[in-house]
Amino acid sequence: MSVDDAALVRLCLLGNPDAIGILVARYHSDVFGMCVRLLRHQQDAEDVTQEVFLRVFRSLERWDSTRPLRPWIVGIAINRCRTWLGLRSRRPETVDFLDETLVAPNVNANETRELSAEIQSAVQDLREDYRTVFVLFHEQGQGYEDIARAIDRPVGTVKTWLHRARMEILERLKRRGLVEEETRRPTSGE
Amino acid sequence: MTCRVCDELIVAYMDGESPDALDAHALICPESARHRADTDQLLAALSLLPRPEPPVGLAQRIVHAVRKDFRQRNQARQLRWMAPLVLTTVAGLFFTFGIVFLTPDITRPATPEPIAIQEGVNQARDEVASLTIRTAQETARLFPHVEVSNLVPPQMPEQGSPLQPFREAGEIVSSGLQPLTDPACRAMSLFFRDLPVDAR
Ligand SMILES: [Zn+2]
Repeated sequence: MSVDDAALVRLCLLGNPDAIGILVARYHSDVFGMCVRLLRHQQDAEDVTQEVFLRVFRSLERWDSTRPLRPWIVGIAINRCRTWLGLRSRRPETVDFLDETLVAPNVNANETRELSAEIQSAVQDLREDYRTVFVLFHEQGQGYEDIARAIDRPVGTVKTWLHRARMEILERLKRRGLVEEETRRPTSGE
Repeated sequence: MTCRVCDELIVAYMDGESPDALDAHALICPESARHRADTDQLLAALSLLPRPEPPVGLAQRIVHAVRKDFRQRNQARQLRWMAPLVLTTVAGLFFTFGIVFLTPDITRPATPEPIAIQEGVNQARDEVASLTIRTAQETARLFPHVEVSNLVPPQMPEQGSPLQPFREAGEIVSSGLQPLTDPACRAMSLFFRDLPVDAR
């Protein structure tokens, strides 16, 4: 990383084309990943990612430079996805949700491939707020503080949602026999 | 999960902290031991969760859209600054041209409106006069022996001051009606004079 976010933003505000390119390159993967997970639609995710960056650059003057930039951008992405989901639910035409599961780069065995596909659909089926914190934590590697800023909720709520998301995924993988049920002992109730 | 200690330790473990505390607790808590094993399996499974990668060219499309938006907003901002200036200039030009071209010319002759009114009044006057004269003549024809030497068309004075035509119209109407009223009076007196004495 050559330029820190605050300096990059200052250059962007001056209309520096290189700075705009660097900022987009730095964060478009996070934004797109979030959009794919929340919208479950490739084309919608691309459109919303572009829309998110237009909003980011339009409101860059309002960014508080004492706070990290990434949660701020991700927060805008989450809001745009929610708005988009609201609009899409009111559209009469049916939406072709993302069918094909993404394949992890180092996956070869059929069993592992199946586990990878199952965990993806488990994530997709989480309720929206659980899915958001899950993706931010496990896919994007963000910390609790940053997630709390992005979704504008207390850290305690983030931890609770994240824990519930993990438990739901784990239960689903167990039901499908993709993780060993033997580890569960009949000692106490869930 | 019913064990609160396990709850906290599992979260810490998943956050990347050392599992030592969790393992120590798992020795005395079977539920925690089970959750420790579950967590390991979940972490292994999550490593297989592929991250959605943006398609090739998306970043360039975004940069292009952002730069275009930046230019448009700049232009709009400049327009916002320039608009009051342009409006002030245009208003100033209108004001200046307005003073030069729209001020009433006091050396010019009277505006056409009074002439039109005067012509209308003259026409109405002529109509009323000719109507009264015709009526008077018809009345006089019923009484041929009556002298109607005063049945002459009234003299139409030339136009003078703007109020004069109205005054003249009033005079003409009354004088125009006079030939009608005078023969009527005379006809009535003749009628009474020729009546048989006993009928009077
Ligand atoms: Zn325990």
